[in-house]
This record gives sequence, structure tokens and C-alpha cells, in this order.
Amino acid sequence: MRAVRNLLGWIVWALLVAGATLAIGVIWFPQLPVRQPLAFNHAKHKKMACVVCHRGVETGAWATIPDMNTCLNCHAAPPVKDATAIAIWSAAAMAKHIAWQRINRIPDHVYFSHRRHVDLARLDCASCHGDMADRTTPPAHPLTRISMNNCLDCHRQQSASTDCARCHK
Amino acid sequence: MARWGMAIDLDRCTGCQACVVACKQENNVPFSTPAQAEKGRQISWIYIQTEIEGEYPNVKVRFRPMLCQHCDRPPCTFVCPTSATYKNEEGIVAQIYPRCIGCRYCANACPYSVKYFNYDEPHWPKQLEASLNHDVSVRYGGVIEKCTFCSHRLTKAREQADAEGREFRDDDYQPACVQSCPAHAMVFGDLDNPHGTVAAWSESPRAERLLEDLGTKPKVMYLKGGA
Amino acid sequence: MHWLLVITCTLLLVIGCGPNGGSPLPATRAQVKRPAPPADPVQFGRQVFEKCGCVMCHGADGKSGIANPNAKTKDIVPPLTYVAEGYLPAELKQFIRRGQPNIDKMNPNGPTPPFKMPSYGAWISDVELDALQKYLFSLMPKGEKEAF
Repeated sequence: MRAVRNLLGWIVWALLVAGATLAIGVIWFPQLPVRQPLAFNHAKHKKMACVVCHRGVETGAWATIPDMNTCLNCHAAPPVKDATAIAIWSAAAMAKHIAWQRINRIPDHVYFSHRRHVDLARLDCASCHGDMADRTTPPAHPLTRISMNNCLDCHRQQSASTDCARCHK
Repeated sequence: MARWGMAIDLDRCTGCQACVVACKQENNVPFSTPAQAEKGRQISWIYIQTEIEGEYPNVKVRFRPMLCQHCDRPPCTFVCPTSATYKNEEGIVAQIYPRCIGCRYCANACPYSVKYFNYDEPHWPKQLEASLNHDVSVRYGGVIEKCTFCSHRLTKAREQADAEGREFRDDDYQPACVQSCPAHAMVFGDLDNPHGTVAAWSESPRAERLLEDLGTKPKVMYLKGGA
Repeated sequence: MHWLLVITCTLLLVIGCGPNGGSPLPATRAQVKRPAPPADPVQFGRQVFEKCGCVMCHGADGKSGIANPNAKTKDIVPPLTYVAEGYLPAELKQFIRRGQPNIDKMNPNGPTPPFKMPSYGAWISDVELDALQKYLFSLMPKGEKEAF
């Protein structure tokens, strides 16, 4: 009888630990890892401002991911020296457009405008997106934790509106 | 800060329901099925209330667009256990869906019965899913929704004014219903602006508010129709 | 036995109530603000030069371009130090807006040079373009006069 109670105790404990690990995993990493179709190297393009490719940040709500035409603005012809670059070019050359996977997501009930934060409030992109510029490969998860608490911390510090209706649509 | 309110001239209202359609389109209001309608569960953030007077052959129908009155003393906000509904500093009574636990106390408390509960998951015909408005969230089953005076339009109008480097004026923003009314029966604006149209219409001898004696201080003014 | 449970629960509570929800990812740190554009057009022009990516190919202060194999301009993206000699202000602005889609090859039978000058058409506003031109003209080493 006592042996059964002991075993039950251990099972409950094991379930609790398993459940808690799952819960923490889901809360800390709310997305499955993201695989991009191409290993775009941000570090090589670091000297440019983010807005050169992510054209939407200064004019709209979404930052947008660049399309093939944006890349072709500078990259006229296949690279001839760097082997990695040649491999990436060959992979991209056949596609009409590259199916980039979105990595930074906000829930449907949140309204976030990049124009408001980048053009009007003059925030640096790294503040919310982390050090993307130093990455040599696309990350599988967002580099920072984008959460309501973090947004509100900054809103309070910068005396921006903390009215729910401003951001919740 | 502005104090947003509306005035509706019932003499001009023809009951055409353009406001109803515009609101549903703008705010992703779910379609209702006949089964839901039978139970009285259809959702219309604004609807035309018809009042029939007299007997045949002297029948008269009056139309009254009925929407959230955005009271200055809103009973719904007093009873909400989670602050999912609250009155913000501009007088708009907001509804925050992720906070709503679906207890429906607010729907009970509202004397105008303009809070609607999503008894079922929302649905639209497949072809209409492409026309959903990205600036308004899609609610799920189990939360209350109601007219928000299209506050998403206010957020966007403020941002546009800031981006253009000019001062935000209260006629930069109007809800979808006001915009769509073909009879120009509705005006919207800052009640505290003494030169505004809403203030002017509110001073009309025909102006009245609904259920004023309850002390809710509604911010929608109705101008009584003629004889 | 049950104290193991208590310890586990306390640990979990402490982790969860920690800053940033206890998450190992850094919190967003939105105190970093970009400075407002400077009043001096040459300084503003330098910012535009960096912001629009010119610096990526033409190098800091346009001193030395990156390798552009088989380009007629000596296998590199040309430096910009002497643009004031080769262009009138309006010509330079037009060139920036138009770009250079076809780069001349050093060896006609060799590969196409990988990098071209993008057409800045709609990417750059008139104010930015004007500042950029003034900055580029200021790259002339001191003491040397323009050829025109």
C-alpha cells in the first residue's frame, strides 16, 4: 500500500516537472523554429540601414520583407568569387520569388505600426529586433522577447500612451 | 483630450441600413445564421430600431439607429470583473477581447442592450474572408463585442496627422457608419468643441438622449423626427 | 516526499515571476533612439550616404570600392573622391536617380560584374538627394579645385 502511494507520488512529481517544462518552453518560445529558404547573411549587408530593404518601416504598419527586385537592384549578375554566395545565388536563381517565413509575429488582436515607432518615435530597429545586423545566418527564433510587458515598460518610460484601445484592435 | 460623441437626426434617417452594412464590413462583424437569429443572438453593432405608431391606415414607422451610446457613466464598465471594458480618456468605451472572460455581466448591465456576446465561433462565407479588415481583430467565441466608434480609425488618423507633421483635427476621423450615411443624418466629433457640428446639433430643441433618467450620460444625441 | 513537490513549485514560481517572464531571450530595450537629421547638409548627406547603402559598395567616405570582378573600373566599384570634377550637381543627382544597370566589362568575354549601381529613383527624397550631392562634392581633398 505504502509502495503504491510512494510510486504515485513520484509519478505526480514527474508529471508536474514534465508539464512545467512544456509550459515554460511554450511561453519562452511561442513559435516553432523557423527555417528560411535561403541563408541570407545580414552581417555582410550590415553597413546599410535596415530601411533600404525593409521598405515598410518608415511608411507603413508592417516592415515588410524585401522581394527579389530589391535584391536585384544591386546584385546584377551571379557572384564569381565567394563560394557560399554562389551557392545562395544558384538556389535563388530558379525561384520567381523567395518564400521568406515570417519570424516576428504579434497576435491578431494587437495593432502595431512601424511608422509610428521608427519614423515618428525614431526608435532603433535593434531595440526590439535584437542584433540582427550581426547575424550571419537567419535565426530560428526571434532574437528578443516581444511581450506586452516589454512594450509597456518602454511606453511608460517614454510617456507614450498606455491606453489599451490604442494598441488592441 | 477630445470627448467623442455623435448626433443623429431622426428626421433625415430613412432606415436604409447603409450604416449597418458599413459597420459590419469595417469591423469584421460575424455573419449570423437563421438558427442564431431565432435565438436572438444575431450581432449588429449598429442596427435600425423600428417603432411603429398608429393603426392602419394611419401607420407611421420611425427609424432609430441604435448603437453603443458610449456613456460617460457606463454601467457596463462598473460591473466588468477584468476591466475588459472601460472608458478611456477620450470618452470611448473600449472593449478589449483578450481580457474578456465572457461572463456577460456587462451585457446584463447595459440598459440599451448594445453589448453582444459571441455564442459561436465567427464565420463568413469563404469569398468574404478576403475582405476582412486588417485593422480590426477577428473575435472568437466567448467574448463580448460592441461598437467602438471605430477607434482603430482614430489611431490611424492620429498617426497620419503626426506623420504629416500637422495637428490632429477632430474632423480627421469619423466612424464607418457616419461616413456611409447617404442622408447625412449622422455627425460625429468632439463634444467639447463648441464650434463643432455635434455641439451645434446638440443644442437643437429636438435633441434628446435615451434613458437619460438612468444617469448613464450617453454621448449619442438623437434629434427627434417630425410629426 | 511532498517537500520535493513544494521545492519544484517554488522554483517554477520564482522563474516565472522573474524579469522578462524568466525568459532567456533578452527583453526589448527600446531606449536606443536614432538621432534627428543634422542641420548641416554635408553632415546630413553623409548620413544619407550610409543609410542608403552607398557606403556598402563605395566604402567609407567613398574612398575605396569593394571588388567587382571584371568591371572596367579596374575590377572594383569606383571610389567617389573626385565626383565633383566629373559631374555638375544636376548631372550627379540624375545619375544617382537613374543608376547604372549595365556595367562595362574589362574583358568582354569574361563574366558579368556581380554588382551594379541601383537606380535610386523612388528610394530617395529630393531633400536627401540634395544633401547627398553636397556631401559627395565635399569629398574632394582640400586644396584641389574642381576641373570645371
